[in-house]
Amino acid sequence: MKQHSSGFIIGIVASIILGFGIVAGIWLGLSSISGLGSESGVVQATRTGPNSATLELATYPDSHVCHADAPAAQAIWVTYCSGTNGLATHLEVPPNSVITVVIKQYDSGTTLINNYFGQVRGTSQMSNGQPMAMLDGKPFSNISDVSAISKNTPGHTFSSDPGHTFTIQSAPNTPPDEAIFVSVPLIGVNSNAPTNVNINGNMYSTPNIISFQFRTGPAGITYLWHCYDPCGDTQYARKPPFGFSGPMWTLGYMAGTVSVTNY
Amino acid sequence: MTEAGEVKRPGLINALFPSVVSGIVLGVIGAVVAGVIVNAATKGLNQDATVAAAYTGWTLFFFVGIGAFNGVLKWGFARREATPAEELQLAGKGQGIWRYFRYTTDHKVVGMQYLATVFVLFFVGSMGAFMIRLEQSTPGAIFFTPSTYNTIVGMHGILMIATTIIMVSGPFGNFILPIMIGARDMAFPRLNALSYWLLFAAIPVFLSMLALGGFQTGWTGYAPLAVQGLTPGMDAYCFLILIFAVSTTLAAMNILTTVIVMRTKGMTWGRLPVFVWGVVLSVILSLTAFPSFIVSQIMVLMDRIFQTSFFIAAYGGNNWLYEHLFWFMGHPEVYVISLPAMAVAAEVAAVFTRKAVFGYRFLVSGLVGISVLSVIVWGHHLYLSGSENALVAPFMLDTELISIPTGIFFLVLIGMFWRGKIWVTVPLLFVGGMLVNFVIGGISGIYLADLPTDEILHGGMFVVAHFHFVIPGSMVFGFFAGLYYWFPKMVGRRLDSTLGRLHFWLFEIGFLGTFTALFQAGLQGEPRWSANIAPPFATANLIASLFAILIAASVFVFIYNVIYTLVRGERAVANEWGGKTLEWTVPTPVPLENFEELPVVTSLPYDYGSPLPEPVTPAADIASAVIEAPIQPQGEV
Amino acid sequence: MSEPNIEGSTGGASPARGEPRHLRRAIIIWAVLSVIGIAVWLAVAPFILPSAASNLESTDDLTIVVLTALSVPVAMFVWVFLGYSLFVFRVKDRPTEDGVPLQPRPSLQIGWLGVTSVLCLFLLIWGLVVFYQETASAASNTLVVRVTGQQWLWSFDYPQYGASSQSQVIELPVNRPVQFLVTSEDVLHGFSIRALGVRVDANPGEVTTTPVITATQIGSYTVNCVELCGLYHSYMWEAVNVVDDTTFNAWIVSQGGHL
Repeated sequence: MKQHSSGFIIGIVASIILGFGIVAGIWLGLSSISGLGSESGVVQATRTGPNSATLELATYPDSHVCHADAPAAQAIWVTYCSGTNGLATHLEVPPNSVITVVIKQYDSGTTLINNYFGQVRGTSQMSNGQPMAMLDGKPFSNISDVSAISKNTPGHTFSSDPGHTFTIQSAPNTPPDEAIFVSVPLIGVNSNAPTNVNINGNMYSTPNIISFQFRTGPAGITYLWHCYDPCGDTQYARKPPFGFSGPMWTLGYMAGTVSVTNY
Repeated sequence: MTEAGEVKRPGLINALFPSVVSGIVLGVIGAVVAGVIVNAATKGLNQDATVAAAYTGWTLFFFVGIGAFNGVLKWGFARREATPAEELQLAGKGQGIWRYFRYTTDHKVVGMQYLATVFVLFFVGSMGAFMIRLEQSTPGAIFFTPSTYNTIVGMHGILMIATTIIMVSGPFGNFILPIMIGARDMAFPRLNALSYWLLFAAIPVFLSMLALGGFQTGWTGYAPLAVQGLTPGMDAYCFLILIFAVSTTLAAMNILTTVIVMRTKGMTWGRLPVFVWGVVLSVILSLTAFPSFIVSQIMVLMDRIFQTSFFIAAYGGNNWLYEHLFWFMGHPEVYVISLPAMAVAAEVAAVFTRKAVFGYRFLVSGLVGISVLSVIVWGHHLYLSGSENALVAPFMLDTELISIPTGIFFLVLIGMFWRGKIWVTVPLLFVGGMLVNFVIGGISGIYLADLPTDEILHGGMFVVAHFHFVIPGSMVFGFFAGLYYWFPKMVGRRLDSTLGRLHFWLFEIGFLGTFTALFQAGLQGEPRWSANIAPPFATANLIASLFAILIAASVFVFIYNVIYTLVRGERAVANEWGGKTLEWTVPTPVPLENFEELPVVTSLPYDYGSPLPEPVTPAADIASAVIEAPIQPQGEV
Repeated sequence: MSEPNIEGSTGGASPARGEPRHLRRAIIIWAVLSVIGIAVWLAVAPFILPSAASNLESTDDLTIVVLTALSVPVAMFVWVFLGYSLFVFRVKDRPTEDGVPLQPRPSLQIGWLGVTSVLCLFLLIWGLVVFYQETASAASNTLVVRVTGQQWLWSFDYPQYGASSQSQVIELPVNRPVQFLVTSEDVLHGFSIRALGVRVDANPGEVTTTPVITATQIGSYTVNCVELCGLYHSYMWEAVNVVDDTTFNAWIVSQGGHL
């Protein structure tokens, strides 16, 4: 075994340290490339009492309101927003509470690929033994209920299809007792409706207001939420798999998380 | 064109044009122009078309810039052969260090270029691996978003696959192999340069995907997902494959022709060193397999750019088509990786145990058996795809059969160690590590070959641990054995053996720890490609990530060794290890045309301890044994 | 190069001294370590493998145990002979003489090929037998569960009852054959329930089927996705509850089905 100078040993140690420095640098570099999958902002539900909170969201047919500086290709992507706060799909809700979610739906309807998502599931309010949600103040449990509501609301018809779904699902890390599954079809605006609402200079139709409630368990658990009504890629009429690409795939648009935390 | 009067010319312009610098400059210009034109033509609506045009422009103009087409103009249109002086100029005579940055045809220059590129690619690929282990050390997608993680996994996979395909055939197949068969260069020197620079051109194409949204499919690029993504990063992956596959096809044809036609007098197929057999069989396999890969990626690009529907069920296509096309390549491809590395192990073991190959014909027939069988086993990747159940039984038969020739390799290597005079140098350590790991890797493959066990292990971390034991654990160890063995010949200096041992032990211990833990995770059912580790698998993954720190340390130690040696290493002698193959008979550094006079071979280079009285071998007294042989013409007929 | 201690120049016949001693020792070490290895494996296997919850999973687990037990002597052969050589035949620094010029006798080559072929054949026949058992046709009371994979959720139907699972749960009755019909709405997914030994790809435009399995153990298990399908691939998860018949019937009714 050759004798090596202490400079040689220092060289080994320095290389290893430098090497791990490079590893850390590459980690930071990769995480900061926004095109690869950036984190979106966070929206907190507004507490309305010790055990209740309200979450207000809006869905738009394009990015102009929430993501005005989007690159051209993404400008036509539909978005979920909170107010006009920019892309924010990490939702925070308080623990052990009833959460009321109110969604202003500006987008028109698209036929579901999987009828499973036409049914309201997992909400805490019931109507005729079925979980229900409210459409402009009237209860419904399935998209087939919508035509009856339409007939009773003069001057305002709804699309028979949802524009989106809001579906909260559990992940492998979720403790089985705390599993949550909530899915609500967000009924679409009729495509013939006039565009008479002005938001930041963009014209949309009168939105459908859909609201529903669900309960949260203890703090510290993160669920996922995702839209299951394909709308992406206008060129190919949403036939699978194309309907599910683009905004459906991208954090900050139609995929995000629901975290139960104390605040 | 004498170089004597031109040595002192204002060197920089002359050095830079043509060279890789002019290639890059022109390539970028070409990419931008092509991209802008197509973008305007499609009104910005077809991002994939724009990106594809940019990549095509880059590749074409890069080669214009580096001077690849100069020969076409000078000799093709002028309808004359290049003069020997021009050939030597092309081979880098008198250009000093600049020859490594030009379109140089000397096989030794190309071999060094491949070696440097293999180092860089391994480094980038390992960074990807460390990012993966970082993310998987704890549940939840904490360090990266899931989509960034998917891109990193895909990047690590394809970079490592591409690098391991060329890691032995590129540096050593180019530098050492022609000398080993007694030739002055490859059969097609200009194609040799082309195949290297195609690899170089593919790298920026691939890395550009980081700016284009990444790609979500992993290295297998499975079809409906590959066609679905709106971001053009997927196109970068397809183009990488196209360019890389053309590069390796050219290199394969070159190596094959060289070995068939240019073996020196007396070197029959029965006296060919095992290393050459390994490389030759590997390139034959790659010629068979890679066209399928090229076709599958062209079809994906067509689905993406021109809206065809080869793989889209809603329009009449089928994703099973992609899976068959891909795995028809994907399985022989791992043997393209393995055969040269296994041959290197046999070559190195002979020298450091001072023993002949234990059954030369036995080993070669085993390697041939592996090559032939490997083309008919691809269906074992499709047992659970849902396509034809009737295919399961025949593919199970073939896949089990392939373990028989693989067993021959083990017997031969064990036979070489047995009762040898074993000199435990760093190359031999890596051969030993390869044997230890290959046993585990090979046996774990049997689990995946049999349906009852595959149906609980497919798509999980068990598969990942299996192929890591086989490819990095065995074949990359074979690469390192070859590297430490041939480095003194290629570079002229000795790699430090203390650092080499440290590299080996850190790598082996880290490797065993990491992937044994992942075997356990796979047995428990952890799926592959998990950005988010579920709690039952958290401990195994944490242990794996901790051991991976040792692997990272081994990489940095190795880099230090290389840099230290280049700066301050001891000079090596011409026959550093006492090897008997032809490359050890030429001086170090190897002169431009390798041999003063081409040698004549009379036996296998493995006559260690031979009972024959003083056999006339190439490494023995050349002056007394060699018959004067005329200089062979280079490749032209 | 050629030295007096190179014994026997007949190209492979055992040289006189040394060889039988080394060979005998190595073989003894190999035999002892193989026996110990197999014993350790058989003792440790029940703790390493997750518990089998279906008949198919039990068969598959048994296959793993047998395969590993058979592999131990094979692996030990390579490791013992390699290790023995490295310890006993090692020289310090550059050797000055060559090793013994051994070549494999034809009997060794044929014997080696024979043993490896027998092992392969055994594994192949085992695999084919299990495969054949899996293709047995379904009994009349087989429960059918339709599985639809999407990016990034599985949804489940029970067409025989007109029910669909209201949340991320599959409920299965114990001791009753069940078969899964799997499809996808978008890209490739991999439907997998590790504990039941069930795994098949979900393809768009096609319906693939798993073998008919019978759950044998009441408990809770999980469904994973094992084919990369994009952003939330590693979050696709559902629970599988294997329960008794009464509980199952009550659950079916609660999910909107009719018995």
